[in-house]
Amino acid sequence: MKRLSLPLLTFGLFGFLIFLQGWWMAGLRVRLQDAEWYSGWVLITGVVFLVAFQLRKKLSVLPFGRLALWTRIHIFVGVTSGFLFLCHINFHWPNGFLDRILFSIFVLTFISGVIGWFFSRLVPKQLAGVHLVVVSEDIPFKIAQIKEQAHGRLLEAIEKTRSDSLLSFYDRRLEPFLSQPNFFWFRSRRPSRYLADLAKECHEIRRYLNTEEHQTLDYFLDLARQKDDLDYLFSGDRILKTWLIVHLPLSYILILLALFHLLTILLFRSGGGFG
Amino acid sequence: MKRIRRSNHPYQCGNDAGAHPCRMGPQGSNCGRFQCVPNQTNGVWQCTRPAQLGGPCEVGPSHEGACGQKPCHPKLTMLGLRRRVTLWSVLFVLFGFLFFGTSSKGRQMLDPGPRHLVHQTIDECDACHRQDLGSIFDPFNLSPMEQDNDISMSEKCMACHNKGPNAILAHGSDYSNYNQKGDFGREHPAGFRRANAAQIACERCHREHNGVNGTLTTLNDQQCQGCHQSYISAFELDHPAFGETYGLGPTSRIAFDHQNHYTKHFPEKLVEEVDCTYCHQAGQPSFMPGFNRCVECHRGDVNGEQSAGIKGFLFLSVPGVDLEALEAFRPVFGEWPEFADSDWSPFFQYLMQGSQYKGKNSLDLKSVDWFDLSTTSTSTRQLAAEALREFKIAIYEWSVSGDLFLAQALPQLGSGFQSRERSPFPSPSPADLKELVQAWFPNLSAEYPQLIEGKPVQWLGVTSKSEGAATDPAKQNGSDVIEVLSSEDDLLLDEGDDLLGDLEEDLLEDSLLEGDSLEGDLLEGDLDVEPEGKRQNETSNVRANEDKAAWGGWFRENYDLYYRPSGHEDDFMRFWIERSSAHQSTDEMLGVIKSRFSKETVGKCLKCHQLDKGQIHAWSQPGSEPELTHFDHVPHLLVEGDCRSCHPFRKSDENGEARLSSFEPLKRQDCVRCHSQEKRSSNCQLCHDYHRGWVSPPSTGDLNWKP
Repeated sequence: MKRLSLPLLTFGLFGFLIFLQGWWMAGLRVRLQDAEWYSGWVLITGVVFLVAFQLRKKLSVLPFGRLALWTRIHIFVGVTSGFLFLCHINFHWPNGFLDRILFSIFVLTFISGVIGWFFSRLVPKQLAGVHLVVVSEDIPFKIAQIKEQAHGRLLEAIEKTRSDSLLSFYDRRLEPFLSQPNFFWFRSRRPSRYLADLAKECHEIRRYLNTEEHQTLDYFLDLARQKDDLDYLFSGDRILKTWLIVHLPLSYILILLALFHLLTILLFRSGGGFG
Repeated sequence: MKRIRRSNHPYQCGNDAGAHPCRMGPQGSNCGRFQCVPNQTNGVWQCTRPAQLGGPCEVGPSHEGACGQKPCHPKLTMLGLRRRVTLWSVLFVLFGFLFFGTSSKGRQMLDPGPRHLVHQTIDECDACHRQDLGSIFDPFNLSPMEQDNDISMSEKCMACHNKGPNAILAHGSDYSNYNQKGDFGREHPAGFRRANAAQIACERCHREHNGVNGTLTTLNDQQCQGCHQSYISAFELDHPAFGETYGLGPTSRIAFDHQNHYTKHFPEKLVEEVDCTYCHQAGQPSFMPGFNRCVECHRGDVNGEQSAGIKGFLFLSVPGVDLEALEAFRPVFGEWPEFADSDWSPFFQYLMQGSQYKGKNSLDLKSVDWFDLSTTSTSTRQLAAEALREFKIAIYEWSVSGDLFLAQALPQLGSGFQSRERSPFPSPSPADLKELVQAWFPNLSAEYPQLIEGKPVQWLGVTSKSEGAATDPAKQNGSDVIEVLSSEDDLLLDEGDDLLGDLEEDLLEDSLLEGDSLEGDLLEGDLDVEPEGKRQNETSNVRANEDKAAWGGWFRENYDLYYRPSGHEDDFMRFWIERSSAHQSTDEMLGVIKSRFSKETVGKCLKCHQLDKGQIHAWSQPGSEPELTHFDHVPHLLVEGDCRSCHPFRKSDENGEARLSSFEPLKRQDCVRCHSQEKRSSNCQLCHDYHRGWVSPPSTGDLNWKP
């Protein structure tokens, strides 16, 4: 019940805020007041606040409130500003060059933000299912260590068994897999399809191997599982960081364009805008 | 060796993907791996890495003495990549601002979109926008409310689209007294919610830069109801009922009996032609047929061909007077034509009693029997004599000053008329007036000084008995003539009966019939005045009689000046009806119009153009405000097919309103048959306009407007 009530409360609050904006804008238009002017000021304030979130993250030592609260407000303001923006442009595709760029940047920023919000809600929960504690910067290093362990065990096995049965398997399947972190778009289930195929192939070649080689093959499979877990962590970490590479530059561009837009409005005062 | 993690660094070690990254990580964008300067001892190169950094490395120096530690190429972390992308993006945008701001493309970049087709000729932004750099540096001066009330752009709009002094008020009208039944005197069915005097800038509704073919208006039903307090959920449900005369439209100004015409006068035509469209055709304003159909039957009514009497309007006349009764007061008014036998013309009655002469003479000209003053009191006769004197003064001044005299005497009709401008009055020319006055009152120019000063006037019949009159040299000269004429009078009146016999009667009758003032020649001794036939020069606009004015214009009959209309919409007729309609408070003038333009007289103006509730329903009503509704007949005719489906004949005229229209007024239910939410559009603006009349096209004088 508690698990269900929180999303309901969240979406209910979003709905209420959006309704409030729509009611406010409709009221302004009905009274033949300058709805674009008022909503524009609210929007520019909102955008400045959204960008200030990044500043808050940089200045974590200053007592500006908890980051979690900032994040929550950032999401609320960001999502609701999307509807206000549509009201601001009166649900019309703008006609001006600068206005169209501003519109596009806002939409891209909004979409990237929503996607990031979605990932930041989903990915950490998924990653928590991997019982492996690794700092994200160490993942390539850990994978390199796994590869080194596999390589050492292979040499050891060849020396003991005087057989190259595992060598072809290692060269063909294991070595490429262990060479570098593999990025997967977010997946909901583990292990990866590659690991499953690898395990299947291990099962098929097992009949051609002796007991010593069986142990080595099991060891390889265990290392592959570790590598797959690291890939999973690596992919999640990469997703959580990649959307920011899109979202943050767009945010800075957006605030620049918005300020320039405000400047032109102040310069030309009344008139213009979207129909 | 424990590795130092630097997750907030933009670079990471280039060997991180290997199993042996360096411990310290990169220094900025450079590899942080410590490289020592190997020391050669006994011919062998030794690593000199200090113990704090791990001591001598495993690789050791090369044979040539170079450090064995190979520097890596640090790689960007995700943080570094993000920073780099952000930096380049911001720089790109700033460069874009700089590039467009300094190039000719800058203005295109700022342009919020193409202007509407009708505004394509406007090139400069400041033609409409107020480019105020000061406002940028003074943002606190730009409170939202100020912006909302900013009408500076509206003023620029009105430089071209002049909608009057109240243009930025609701509906272009001052409704401040509306609810108090002020200027309008009636309650509006929808009332007002917001402040009536609130200014509404043009751009609240007229949004530009929406494309060449974009809409310039965005008003919707909800916005109408933002001000109007009576909530109308749907036209068919709670829209107020129409007015009692709605649907009668401009036809109510014309008294046209549709029923009689339809059933009696031209039923054959209606059968042969196409019903109502015989007269009412698309393309005509409000389907009004004009006079083109009426003239087929009524031409003779207008130009007087079918008139039994004189075919013209009596504009000016020398009234007939009981001169015997006024004999004692002759010095007051001087000579007067003995054979004048007309009534006072209504126009001159108005001129003398309804204008600047008002108050000078308390005598009601209409209350006196001018042909028999013998029974009136002496004071009445005195006033009558004064009225005759004022009449003579008026026509003399008129003949001298021309229409400037009328403009001064009737300022409410000749508003703003100055002598140098073209006269607004359709009246005889000064030359024609002089001729008339000379013919009617040959000695008026000599009498005028005495008349205007109120001194006794010598007249040609009896010498004034007032003292000093004969001492005037001019009068002395005249006395000789008087004596001669007196003897002539004796001849004609006392002894001439026998001498002239029937000949005298013939002479007099001929002169009367031909409109010639023979009595002026014979009886009043003005020998300088030539006979009518000679006086009537080629340039005179006053014809000798009505037959000579068959095509319209001025003509005289004896002591009367008439005007005969040339046809419908005659300038003379238009002027007096329009001006009278514009000045509805001028009751006397209204009386003139009523009496002169009635359906019994020539022209029969008031047979169709109605007098109602003290005003004339002329073809146009100067000063009246256009309505806030419009109606397009054409699409309705395409659907309905028959006019009478909406305009049935009025069943009864018990209350007399049938005089204004032959049809039943349109009711809301008639429209609801088609216009409802389920069937067709029923939004406010389908019938209602925000602006009264249409927005005038730009005048090129006030702005650099290029056609």
